[in-house]
Amino acid sequence: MILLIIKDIKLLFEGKLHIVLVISIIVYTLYINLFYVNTDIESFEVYIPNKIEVEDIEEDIIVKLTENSDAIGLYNINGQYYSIITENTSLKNYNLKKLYINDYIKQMDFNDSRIDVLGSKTFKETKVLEMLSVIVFFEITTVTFLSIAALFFKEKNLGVLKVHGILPIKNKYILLSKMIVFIGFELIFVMIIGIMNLGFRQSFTSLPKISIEVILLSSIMVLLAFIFVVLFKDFKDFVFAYLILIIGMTSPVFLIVNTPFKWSGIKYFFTYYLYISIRNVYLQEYSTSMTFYVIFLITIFLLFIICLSLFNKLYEDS
Amino acid sequence: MRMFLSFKMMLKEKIVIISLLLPIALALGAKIYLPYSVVETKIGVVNELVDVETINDLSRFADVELFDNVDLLKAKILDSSDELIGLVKEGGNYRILLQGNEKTITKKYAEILIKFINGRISLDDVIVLEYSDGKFNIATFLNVIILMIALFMGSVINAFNIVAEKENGVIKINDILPISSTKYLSVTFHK
Repeated sequence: MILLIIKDIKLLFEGKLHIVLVISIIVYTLYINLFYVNTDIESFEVYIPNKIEVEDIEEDIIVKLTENSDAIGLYNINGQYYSIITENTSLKNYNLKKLYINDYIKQMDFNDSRIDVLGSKTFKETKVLEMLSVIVFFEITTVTFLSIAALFFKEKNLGVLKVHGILPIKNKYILLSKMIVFIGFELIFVMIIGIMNLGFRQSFTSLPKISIEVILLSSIMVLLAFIFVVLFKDFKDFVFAYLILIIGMTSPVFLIVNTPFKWSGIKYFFTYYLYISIRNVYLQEYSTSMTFYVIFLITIFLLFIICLSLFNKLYEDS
Repeated sequence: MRMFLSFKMMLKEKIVIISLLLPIALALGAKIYLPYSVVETKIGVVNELVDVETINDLSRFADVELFDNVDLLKAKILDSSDELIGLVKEGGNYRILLQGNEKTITKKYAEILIKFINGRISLDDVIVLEYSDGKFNIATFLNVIILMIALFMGSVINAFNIVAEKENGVIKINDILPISSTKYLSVTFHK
């Protein structure tokens, strides 16, 4: 078993997975800290042209609105305020923009209401945690999935999988070895990217819970990869199925969970439940129920049984 | 003739057909779904605490979601996937509930809406002229996504062609042929 694990680690290093992970950590960290945390919208740009003639003013504003459709043009003629707003959104948003410019000209400093803040996280903290959950999920469902599939395909094409059939090694150890190696790689990835974006203290606080999620999700992806490898003739066919899985099953989940777009049909996506459990660990908004973990474990067990029977089928075919 | 053969070869790959059809399917989906998918500001109010007139006023500017009690409203506000502005009335005064991680403009909207329902500002002080550039905000966003998918799929096809050539040993044959690496890459991506 230990020899199998060492062999798999060697193969992954030969496949340059460690380089992919290091580059991913650097790119993702730069993206989070340089771009994603700076997506706050503070206010609309109110453009007041420095012209006298009405035609010139309006022309100037329209040039500005063409450059920035969210800007609001404002001018005053004989004490009456006029505003030009781009009509490129819904009626409600348009009305809100009208209200915004009416508030702007009043320049009132006082507020009529008290704001009670219920949460403890700032906009930037939430964005970092949100993107970390996306990255961890994406890393496991794409990089791990592709890497493990590539490894299995290599072994399949070289006939190594069939050779295992005549060796005194139980099939379950071959699968377990892959699972252990990939879980190890993912845990290191999650730990490093956590430290780099959250700092030592916060990342180690969330590490035990996120490790459980990583172990469960990685196991599922390794077993799914094996099933795909047996089902598909070559790596190219596999990529065809993979693209459908990635584009069709994960993109809508990221979009619906992390943006104000809402769609009730998302509950029929199994990837929704896998992603939401990782997101909950990072954002600490809900605690994942035990039922969920039980379903997770049953799924892994069933997939493991399917993989073992596919292994036997592979030997019988050969 | 050469182009026709190249095209015929390309169509043999299922992935190429998908890459051609997926952006079209997405564009059609976006076209059908678009009018209903604009992101609007959301306000949560407790049914018993805010009168119907105020709810109707707020509905002109935002999606108003009704809650049975404050606890349910607070639970929904604490969900980060949605920027919900909570509004409760206590002793004749309005109180805004926010999670604290919203965009700055969302907080600004909350303050403006309270000023509006308190009669401090109106919609009539500024005469607003509409300007239409013929673009719908969300359409631009979706067009970018569709374009990115098309480019992504296209690059994946080329990358896998190179990998397949490497696996089949074609790339080694190129080493002894009078073709430069630049020429090889330009021919590959020209396909």
